[in-house]
Amino acid sequence: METFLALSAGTVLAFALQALLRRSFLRMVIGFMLISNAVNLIIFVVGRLTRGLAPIIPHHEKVLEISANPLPQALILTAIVISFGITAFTFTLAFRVYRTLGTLDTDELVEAETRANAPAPEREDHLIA
Amino acid sequence: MFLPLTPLVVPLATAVFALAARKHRALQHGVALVGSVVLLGCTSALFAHVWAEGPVRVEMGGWSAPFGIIVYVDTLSASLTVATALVHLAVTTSGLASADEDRRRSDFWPLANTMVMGVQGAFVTGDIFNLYVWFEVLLISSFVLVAMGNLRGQIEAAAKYVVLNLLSSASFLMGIALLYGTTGTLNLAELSVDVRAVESSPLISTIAVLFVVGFGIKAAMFPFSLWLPSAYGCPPAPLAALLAGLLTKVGVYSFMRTGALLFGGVVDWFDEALLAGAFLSLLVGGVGAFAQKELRGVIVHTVIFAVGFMLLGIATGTHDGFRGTIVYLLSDMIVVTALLLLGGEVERMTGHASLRQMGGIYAARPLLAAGFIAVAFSVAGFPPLIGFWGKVALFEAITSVGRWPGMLVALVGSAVVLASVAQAWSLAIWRDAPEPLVEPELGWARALPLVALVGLVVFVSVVPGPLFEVAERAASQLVDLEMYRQVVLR
Repeated sequence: METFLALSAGTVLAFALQALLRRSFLRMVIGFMLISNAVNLIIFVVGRLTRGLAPIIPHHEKVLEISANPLPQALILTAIVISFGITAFTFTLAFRVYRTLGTLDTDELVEAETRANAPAPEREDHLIA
Repeated sequence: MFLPLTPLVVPLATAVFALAARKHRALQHGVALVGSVVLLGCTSALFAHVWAEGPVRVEMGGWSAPFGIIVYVDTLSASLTVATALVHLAVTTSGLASADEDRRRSDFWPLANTMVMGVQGAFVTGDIFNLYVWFEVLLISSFVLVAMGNLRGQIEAAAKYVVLNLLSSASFLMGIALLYGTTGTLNLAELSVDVRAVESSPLISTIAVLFVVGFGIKAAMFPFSLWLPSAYGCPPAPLAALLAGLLTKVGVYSFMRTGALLFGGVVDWFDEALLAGAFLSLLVGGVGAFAQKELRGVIVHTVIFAVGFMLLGIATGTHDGFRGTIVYLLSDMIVVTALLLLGGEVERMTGHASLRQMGGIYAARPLLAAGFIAVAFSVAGFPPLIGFWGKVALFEAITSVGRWPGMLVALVGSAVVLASVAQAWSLAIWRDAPEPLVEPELGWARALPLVALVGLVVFVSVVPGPLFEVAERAASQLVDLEMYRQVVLR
């Protein structure tokens, strides 16, 4: 099971990197979603995998049977919540990139480099968030 | 023991109140100002406490170390929280003065405070996963801050900034996962023991690669610095000052902490990698600053240059190197903030961003011009300014471990940066105005933070002793792993 999950994590990571290298900003966002899932899988595998065993020491015993470590699973929960919020933000940003710049092609995002502080010709009137 | 938590609680409370007071401009501004003043007071009290009594730690939620999350404050963390609070107060005062220019600024205050909370959290945590969480707190706030205002350049800059920094977080988190899988702990004090007991050095090496990529992007170490020029170049000046004063410093701090606790002496290529990153950052930052046509571009490239300098000290891995880096880090937070705020005033007064169209500041505002030259030449390391003292300390450390090439590269980089700030000074400030200033008035609210910051820079330049004393003790505590473990795991 560990091997299978490790291989899956690697595969997802490979797809994520492939998506991150695309020129479309939207694909990069998807790449980010995949990469955070791959990382979560890695954390999951790292915490050992057992089936049907709660990590609770039984009443009359002192030692815990070998069971999955619950801490990495708590870490994954934290990481999922964080990546959920950030994914929502990046989608909003992708939408904003499209609305403001009229393109999602990252090769065309060169204005900030060439005329960083030039005042914008007209300001868009809506808030970002 | 509540004091070590104030760097987190005060900005959080300020953010909440500023959010609640969103519709009442005057009230919100009052909340922001009071919050940043209280933060400075609390962090100063914390620093005084740590200075008098030694490092302190707090167990969050009553869970004892190494199982719970630890807040650990030593001299390094405490001095960084004070510097952060200073930057925050200066930017808040300066931002309040210009807040009427843009109605969107009402969102600025809660976000700036949550970002400061993230920065402070990263400085005081003693838990590696908690460090990741604080990174995310400061990142998500800074993402919105960079994009806020909706100028074309800002949206673009935000897109690049977001993608690269998410990659950095993923890399760092992956490193944490492997580190936990290898050692079974997240507590930095326990990790500092356990990584030295791990037999498989390729595994620790892999973890170090992931950390170096993660922190390298955050610290803007070349080749990971490509997000920085646009992200710091596009937002309004007070915001750019806040970002430049704090964000890359968190990355440098993380390098320092993990270098001292986890990788120094464990991963044999760690120092070499940082040294290579430092070389490249010094050269790219210097040449980048020289090639800029805009004042802001010159300033933001000196940020990359300064990161190179700080990495040089970390790459030595010695007490002296850390001491030099800490002197440079603390002074650079103030210097860069002052420089960006001053640059923002020059932009506002001349009404232009490009160096070619600026000018006439010296004739109209000689004091502003003098402040600019003091701060800009400090960045370049011109004696007797504070940047020079930091560099001297770093040079001593580098040469004492026999890294002569590092010193040569640093000197070349410094010379180029000196040339570029001198060029910026003569074009933007000194020469006669090509066209009359659009807005020659400064006003006391704008002038106050500038006077305070420049005064501070001049003061520590003239009297560098106390800063060196702080850095000396901070570096001793940083490299004293035994003490770290005793305080945390007692």
